[in-house]
Amino acid sequence: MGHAYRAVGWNRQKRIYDTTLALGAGLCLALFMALTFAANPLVTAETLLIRAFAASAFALLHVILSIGPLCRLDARFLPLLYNRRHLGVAMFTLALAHGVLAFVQFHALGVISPLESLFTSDGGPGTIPFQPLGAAALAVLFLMAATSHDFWLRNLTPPTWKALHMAVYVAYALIVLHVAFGFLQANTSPYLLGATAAGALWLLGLHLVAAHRERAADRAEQASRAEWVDVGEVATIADGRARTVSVAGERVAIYRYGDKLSAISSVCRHQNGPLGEGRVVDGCVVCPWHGYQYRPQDGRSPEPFTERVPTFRVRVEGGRVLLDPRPLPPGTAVEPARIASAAAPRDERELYVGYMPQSPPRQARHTRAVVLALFAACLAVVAFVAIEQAPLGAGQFEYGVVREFRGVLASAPHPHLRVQRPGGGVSSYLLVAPGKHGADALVRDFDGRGVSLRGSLVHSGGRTMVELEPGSIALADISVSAPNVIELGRATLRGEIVDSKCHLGVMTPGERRTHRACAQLCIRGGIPPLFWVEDGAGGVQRLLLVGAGGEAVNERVLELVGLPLEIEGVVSQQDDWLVLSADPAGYRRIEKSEH
Amino acid sequence: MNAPLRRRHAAMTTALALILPVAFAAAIATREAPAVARMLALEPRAVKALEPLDAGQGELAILQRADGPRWQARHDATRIAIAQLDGAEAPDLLAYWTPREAGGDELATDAVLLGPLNSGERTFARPGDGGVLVLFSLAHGEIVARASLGGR
Ligand code: HEM
Ligand code: FES
Repeated sequence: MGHAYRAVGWNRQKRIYDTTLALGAGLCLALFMALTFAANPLVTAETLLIRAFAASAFALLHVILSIGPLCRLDARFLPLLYNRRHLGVAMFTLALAHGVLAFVQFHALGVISPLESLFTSDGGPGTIPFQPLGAAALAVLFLMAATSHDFWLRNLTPPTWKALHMAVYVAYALIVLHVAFGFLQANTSPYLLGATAAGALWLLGLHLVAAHRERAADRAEQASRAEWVDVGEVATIADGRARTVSVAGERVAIYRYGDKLSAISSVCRHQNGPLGEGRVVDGCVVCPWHGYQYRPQDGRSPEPFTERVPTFRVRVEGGRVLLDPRPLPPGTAVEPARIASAAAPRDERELYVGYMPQSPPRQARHTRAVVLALFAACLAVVAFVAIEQAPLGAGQFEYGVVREFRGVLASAPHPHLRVQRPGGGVSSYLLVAPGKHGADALVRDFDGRGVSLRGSLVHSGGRTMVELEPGSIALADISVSAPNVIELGRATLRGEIVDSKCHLGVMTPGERRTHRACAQLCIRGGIPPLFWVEDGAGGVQRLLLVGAGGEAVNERVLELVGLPLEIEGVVSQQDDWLVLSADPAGYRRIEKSEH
Repeated sequence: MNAPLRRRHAAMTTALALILPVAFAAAIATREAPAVARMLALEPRAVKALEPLDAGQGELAILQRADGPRWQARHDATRIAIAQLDGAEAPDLLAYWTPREAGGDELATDAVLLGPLNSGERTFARPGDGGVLVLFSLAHGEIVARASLGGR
């Protein structure tokens, strides 16, 4: 069965819907970034974007998942359902921007392929990698966004399409776990945890309540064996409206229009919407979800449309409606039953039809109020996340600003430039290469020599690093004071292994669980590892971490990066750096109970 | 939705309601608090440790960089305690004392290195009476701020 592709038809309501949506998403992004920047002026643009896209997408996902059950509970929410697919595609776009930026930021420019990094890093005993969960969710959302057009709906058939799109619940679960095993590990505000849990409880609660209502409706299932089933009094059906009954496991809509009564399947051919909750307009039953039309007497859409639903035979006897529960083939014309008494209850509920130029007035007011409430809720949520996130590092990276430095190069244990301080003493600047690479290869020929070199500064808390411009090192007639090495003694320190480049300012944050995969990749690529020690009151020490013999330990500490550790070793002062020398075999993971 | 879809929908939401809270709770249960350490006295010994000036002790000088950050320097006859008040850090920031006011962008040749300034307050021995406190970023090769300390 082939289906021609038809471009999406645009109309006024769709434009309003999409403009409102774009405005809402734009406001959420802007608000999140403004609040984050105000509290963390040194935050990098990448972090701002990665987090703003994520928080906005996650908030929008909650809206999307709320619409279905809200519509089951109150038909006045239906205008939101009308173009729900647009919400889905918008949410996917935001999530894609987040995923792609995070993928590039944390996995590109390393010594292994970005994909390998995405799926293999952040593991190790007792840790669950959270980024593959996000990637899996993104794949599911991609499948849904890619098949969102009606072309796919027809090609796959509505039941298969609907079933596929129910994977949104799988995506939702993956995202909640992506957040719980990632963001919430590093951002320990109990309110963030509470908000995430409240979002999930809200959605589950809504769905359970709506499902309960549905089940109650189906429980009134009529005995389906009988040839004619009594489905109630005709006088209780409003003009232009239907009674929905469940027979033989399927729902049937019995429509009253003028003095006639017809029964058709309540399952719309489009997306299986509830036809029994629609209304007869201009002689056709209009589906409440997206406005597909069917003639009540034969279940066919008016020309030029070709949709058909099964029809059923009805009779009226003594004021009661009798239905033959055996469906007739879709599109079979059935003579409508005649109703003797013209008295019908009035039903004042308005029906929203998205392709009409105007929404009915009361409905329009309700829709405006709901949209405003949703705007407020989403903005409040992203603002809340922005305010409650943990403070973002104080390091700085002079990206794009290249300066010249002069000093004596040393390559062990990690490349660094020793720069003479006027008045005595030496400052030493760690040297790294662009991307997630150490500078060992770049400095090899210059060990112990006076040089001039160019690069960009990275610095935080008195610790300084230069990202070398490859090929910029030149011999120069420079000498500096001899190394000043003082052993300070043995110490047992608690802290976390971080990669010096991100931690000192290239990324904010450049530590903790959300940054772990990237730190592993950097350290694997030769970036010097630091042991970052905090006292919880703002006191910070950053020690260069080396082996017991002063050698580089990068390859041996990968699994321990980004986790709470205790290290016992010898601390020494080498020029202006503190160095912690300890055999990685003795690094001990701090158990949760020890905190 | 038709009946099979409704059943599938119910099954999925039920599964979600059962699995998600458990998995979420597991994630939160494995959450590790960051390692917090008692700060060890690991200050580089090149700078002699001094009794810090108590708050409110000594005279106050404020140093400000043209484009923002400010530092305060409290000083008495023997000590100078310097702390950054606001703004971003300057790279490899060193504190110098010079006996005389010397204009220009260069660090005076008779400048005495007090020591590096990084986060928190640092207390240095005062090399002499009066003089000028100069904050110099070695990585930028520029004077960041200066203030006269006045005679005593
Ligand atoms: C390839 C796919 C993905 C990758 C690599 C990825 C990566 C990340 C990373 C590294 C973080 C931590 C960021 C930080 O703390 O600065 C994060 C957080 C987050 N991610 Fe993803 N993610 C992906 C897909 C998704 C998807 C599809 C969603 C769905 C909305 C999502 C939602 C979130 C949320 C809500 C956060 C918490 C941060 C916030 O709210 O701002 N992620 N992700
Ligand atoms: S389900 Fe879309 S119009 Fe009926």
